[in-house]
Amino acid sequence: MTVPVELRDVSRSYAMGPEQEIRALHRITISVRPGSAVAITGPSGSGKSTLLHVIGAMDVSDEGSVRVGDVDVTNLKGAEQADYRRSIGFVFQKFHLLPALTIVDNVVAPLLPFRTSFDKWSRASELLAAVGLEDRADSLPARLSGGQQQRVAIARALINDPALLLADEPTGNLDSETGTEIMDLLLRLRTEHGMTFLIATHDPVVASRCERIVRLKDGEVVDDVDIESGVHYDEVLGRIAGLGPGA
Amino acid sequence: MGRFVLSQLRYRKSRTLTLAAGILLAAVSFTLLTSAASTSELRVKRTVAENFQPAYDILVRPSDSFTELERTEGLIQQNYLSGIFGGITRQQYRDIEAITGVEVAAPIANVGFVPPFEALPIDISPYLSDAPESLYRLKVEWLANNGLSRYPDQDAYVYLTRRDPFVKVPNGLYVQRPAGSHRSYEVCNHFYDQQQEYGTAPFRLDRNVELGCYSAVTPQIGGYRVDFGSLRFPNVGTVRAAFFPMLVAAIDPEKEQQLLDLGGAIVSGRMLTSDDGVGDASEGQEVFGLDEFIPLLASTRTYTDEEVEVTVELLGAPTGRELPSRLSRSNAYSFARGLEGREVGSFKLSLKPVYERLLDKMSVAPKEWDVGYPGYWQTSAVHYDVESEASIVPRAVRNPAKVFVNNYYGCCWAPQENRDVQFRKVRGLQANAREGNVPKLVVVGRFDPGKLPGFSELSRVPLETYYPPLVEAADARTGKLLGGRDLLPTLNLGGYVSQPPLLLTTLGGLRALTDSSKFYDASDDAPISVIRVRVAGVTGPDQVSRERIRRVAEEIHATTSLSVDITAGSSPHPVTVELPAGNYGQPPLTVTEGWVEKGVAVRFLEAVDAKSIILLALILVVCSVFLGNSTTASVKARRVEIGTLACLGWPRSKIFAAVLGEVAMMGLLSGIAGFGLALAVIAILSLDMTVLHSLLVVPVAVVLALVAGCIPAWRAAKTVPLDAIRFTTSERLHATRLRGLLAMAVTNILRRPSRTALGVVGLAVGVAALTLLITVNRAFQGVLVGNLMGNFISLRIRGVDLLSAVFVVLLGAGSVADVLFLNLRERAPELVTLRTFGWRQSHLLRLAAFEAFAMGVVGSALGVGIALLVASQIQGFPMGTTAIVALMAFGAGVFVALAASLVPMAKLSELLPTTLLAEE
Repeated sequence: MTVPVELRDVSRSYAMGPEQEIRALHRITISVRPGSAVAITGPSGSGKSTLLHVIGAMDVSDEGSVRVGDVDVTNLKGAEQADYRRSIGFVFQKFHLLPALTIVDNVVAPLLPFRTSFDKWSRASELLAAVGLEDRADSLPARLSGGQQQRVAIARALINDPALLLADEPTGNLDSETGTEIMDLLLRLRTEHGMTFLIATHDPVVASRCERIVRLKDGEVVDDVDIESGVHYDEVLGRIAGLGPGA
Repeated sequence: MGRFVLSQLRYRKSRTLTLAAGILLAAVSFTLLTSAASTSELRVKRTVAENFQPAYDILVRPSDSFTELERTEGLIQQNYLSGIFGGITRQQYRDIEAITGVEVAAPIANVGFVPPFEALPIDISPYLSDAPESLYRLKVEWLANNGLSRYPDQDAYVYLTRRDPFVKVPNGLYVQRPAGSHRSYEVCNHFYDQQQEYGTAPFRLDRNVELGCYSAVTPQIGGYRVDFGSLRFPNVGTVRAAFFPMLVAAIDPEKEQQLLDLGGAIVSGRMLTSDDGVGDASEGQEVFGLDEFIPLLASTRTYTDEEVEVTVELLGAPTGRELPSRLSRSNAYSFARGLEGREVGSFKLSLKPVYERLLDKMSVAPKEWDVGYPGYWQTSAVHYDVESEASIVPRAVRNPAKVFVNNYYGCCWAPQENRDVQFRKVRGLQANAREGNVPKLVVVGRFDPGKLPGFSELSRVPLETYYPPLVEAADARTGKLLGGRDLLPTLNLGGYVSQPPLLLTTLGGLRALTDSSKFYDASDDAPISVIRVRVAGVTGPDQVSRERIRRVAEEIHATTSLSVDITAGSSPHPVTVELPAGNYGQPPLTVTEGWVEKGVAVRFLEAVDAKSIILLALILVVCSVFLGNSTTASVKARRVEIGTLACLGWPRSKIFAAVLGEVAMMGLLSGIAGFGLALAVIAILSLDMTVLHSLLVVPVAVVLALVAGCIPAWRAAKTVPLDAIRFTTSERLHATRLRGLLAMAVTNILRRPSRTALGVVGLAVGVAALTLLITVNRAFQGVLVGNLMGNFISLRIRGVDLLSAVFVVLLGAGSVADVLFLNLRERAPELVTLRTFGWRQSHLLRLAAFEAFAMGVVGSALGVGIALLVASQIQGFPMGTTAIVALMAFGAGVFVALAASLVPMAKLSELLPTTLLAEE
C-alpha cells in the first residue's frame, strides 16, 4: 500500500536567541505521488531534515498543511502523533540502534509495548533475512559494522509495514560502496513493499537513484525535477554536485 | 584549575545540582540525625532525671502484704494501704529510723473506720399543698458511684394541717383539735400500732416507718423530734440518721512534715505534734471509767461520692377532716401505705454538710465532746483474679450481717451501701462499753489535702494517707456511665475504692484505739501499716544515688525482714480493672488505675544508651553510602570527558585535583544551603540544637564530600586516554531476547551494573537502616510502654524518631533517584528514538517505572536481608519485630524507588524527537 504526500505552504522557523530567528522551511508546496521515490537534496541547513521531520510528525510546521494519505499530519496531537509515527518508517543517518538490545529486538522495538495480530519476532526475522542479516539476529549492535547497523535500522523501519518510508541521509555515515548497497536495498524494499519513499541526501549519486529530485536552498524549493524531464534532471544533479549555475 | 572547576560546575548545571542536592541531603541528614538522636537521648535522660524521685524512695510493708499479682508483675498495687491494718512493730520502725542513710522514715498506722452519725434533715417545705390537711410520702434513696447505685431506705410520712391547732394532752402526746370543737384527732398517736418498735437487722430497714405531724397553727407543738434532730413548721419533713464512717490513721507529724510539708496544708486549728498523745478528758468530772481523748487532724475533703435522693408524693387522701380521722385509728399505717401518691417534687442532698457538722461536733473541748461510736471496723485488701492479659477482676467477698451489728449498742451503725457487693473482708472491733466511754476523737486542726505539695505525675506513688486512689473510666461506655468523672470511694466499707484516712492522730494517740481493754480484739503489738522512706543523698537517677537507695533497702530488709520496694525511678502503670455489677443498679464497669511499675527509670536509661549507639552507627553508614553513591555515579558519568582530558595531556594529579575540587566546591555550597535548611527543620521540630551546632553542616558537607569523592577522583585519575573512546562500548551487554517492557527494563538496568549496584546498595542500606531504626525505636517504645513516664517520653521523642526514619527513607530514595536520573539522561537519545517509532509517553514512563520497580525489589530485598543479618548478630534484638518491620520496609523501599523515579520521569516528558534529531 502506498500513500500520496501533500505539502501546502509549509513553513517552519526556529528561534535562535531572543531576537534572531532561523527560517528552516518557507512556504514549501510539494505533491508526491503514491509509490514514488523522491530525493530531497540541498546543502547543509537547507531544510531537508526539517522537511522530513515535519512529514514524519517529529516536528510541527508553523504554517501550512501536511497530508499523508488520509492523515492531516499538521493537526495531530500527542498519542495521535505517536500512532501516526508507528504507521511510517524512518531511517536515520546515525542508525540510532538501542545498544542494549539484540538485533532482532531492535527490529521489534517499535512494536515492543504493543499487541499485534502477528508474531513480531517472526516478522523481524523475515525482515532481517530481507536485509541479509538473519544470522546476526542475536548479536548486539556494537558487534556490527556501520553498514550492517543501517540495514538493521532499515529492517526496523519496515516492521510496521509502512506506506511511507522517510530516510534522512541514510548513507551519510557510510563509505560510498556501502552507501550504494544501502541505497540498493532501500529501493528494492521500496519496490517490494510498495512504499512511497522520501530520502534526504546531499549526495548526487544517491539522489540520481530516485525518480524525482526536489532541491532546497535556505528553506525554499529551488528545483523540482522528474527523471522523465531528461536534460533538466541532469542539470539539477549537476547543481547538487556543485557544478553549473545556481549550484 | 579553579577556573576549570568553576566552569565545569557552571556548564554542567544539572549534574552539579544533582550532586549538590545529594551532598546537601547527606550533610543535613547527618547533622540533623545526630542532633535528633542526641535530642531523643537527652529528652529521655532529662525526663527520667526530673521525675526520678517521687514522694518517697522506698516503701516498707509487712512481709505478708504482697499480692500475687504485684509479685509476678513487678508492680505495687495502687491502693495497697487500704488493706493493711498493722503488721509493723514500733521497734521495727525505730530500727529503720536508725539505719544509716535513712533521711526520713514516715510511718502510717491504719486504725479503722469509726462510724459516727449525724442528723440529716429532709425538708419538703417547697412542695407542700395549700389544702387544709395533707399527707405526704417521702421515698428516700442513698446514691453512690455517681448515681449508678441506688440504695432504697425506709419511706417516711408527713402530715400537715393548716387550719387546726395541736393541743397537748397527758402522757406527752398531742392531738389535733379544730377551733371551737371538742372533737380531737390523735393523728400521730396510732401510726406505730401496726409496726414493731425496732428491729435488730443492720441498715435500719426493719425499723418503724415514721410519721411526722405538723400544724401551721401551732408550730411549737408537733413537728419532727428524734433524739438526734428535729424539724418545726414552717420547716416540714423528716430527719434521717446519716452514718459517716471515717478512716482513722496514725502518723508521725514530724516525719510527715519532712516528707510532705503537712503543716503547710493546715487550714484551721493546729498541726499535730509528736507530744500529742492520749489525753484525760475527765478533768475532775464524775465519769464512768476512764475518759480518754485523742487529738486528731481532720481532712477538709471527704472524696466521698454520696448523696440522698428524696421523692415527695402528695397522697390522695380523703378531704375534710376525714384524713385526721383515719390517721387517728389503729390501722393508720396500713391506711397511709395504701394511698396512691402523686409526685410533687424530688431533690438531692449532699452528705458533705453532714461530714462538716460531724467535724464541728468533734472540734470542741474534750469535756464537751459528745459523738458516739460503738467501735471501729478494719478491712482487708482486695484480691484479684487475672481474667486476661489486659485486665483483672476484683474478687467479691461476703461479709456476714453480724459484722455490722454491735453487740452492745445494737444495730444500724453501718451505712446502707454495705448491703452492696463487697471486695474486702470487714472485721469489727467493738468497744468494751463496760470499761467506760470510747476514746473521744477530738479534732484539733483541719488540713486540706489539696494544699499538699504536688509531685511529678510521671513518678507518682500512692499517697493514700491523703488521697483516694485514682480510678478512671477505661472505655467510652464506662466514661459515659460515670458522667466523665472518676470513681470515688463510697460509704461501703468493703467497696472497691477505699476512702483515704480522714482523721489523723499520732502514734501516741494511737494507743487509745489499740488498747484491748477498750476495744475487743485490738492490739498494739504491730500497729504500723507501712513506712515510707526517703534516702539521704539521692540527687537523681545517677549510679551513686541508685546505689544508696539499693543499699538502704537491703539494710531495711536485713534488719526487719519486712518487705521492701524501691519506688524511686518507678512510674504509674495503668491497670485495667473489670468491676462486676453491683446489686443496686451499678452495671459492670471497666476502669483504669495507676499501679506503680518499679525500676522504670533504670530500664529507660539502659535502653536509651543502646538505642543511641545503634542510631549513630546507622546514620554514619547511611550517609556515607548515600554520598559515596552520588559522587561515584557522578564521576563515572564523566569518564569520557576525563578521558578526553587525559588525551589532552592532563597529568593524573591534575585530574584528581580537578575532580576533588569540584566535589569540594559542591560540598561547600551544599553546606551553606544546608545550614539554612537545618535551621528551618530545627525550628519546625523544636530540636535541641544551637545555631553553632547547625553551622556544623558546612564542614560536615565539605568533609563528607571530600571523603566520598576521594575514591572516584582517584579512579578518574587512573583513566587512560583510550577510555574516552571505549566508553560507548563499555556497557556490559548480554545478548538476550526480550519479551516485553519489563524485560527491556531489566536489560537496561543491567547495562550499567556498577551504577545499578550503587543505587541498589543505596536503597538496600536505606531499607536495612529503616528496618533497624524502626525496630530499635519500636523496641524502645516497647520498653517505654505501660507506664506514665514511658508514655510521656514516648510522646516527646516520637517526633525526632520519625524524623530519623524520614531522613533514612529520603536518603534511600535519593540513591535510587540519582541512579535513575543518570541512567535516563545518558539514554535520552535512545528514548527519543523510541518516540520516533511511535512509542507513546506512557510507554516510556512505564519503562522507567519498571526499571525503578526492579531496582526497588532487588534493593529492598537486599536491605531486608542485611537488616535480618545484623539483627541476628545483636544479642537480645527482637527478631520477630524485625521480621515484621522488614516486611513493611520492603514495601516502603519498593514504593520509595517508584516515587524516586518520578523526578527522572518528569524529565522524560521533555524528550521530544526534535531534540535528538537536531543533534544530527
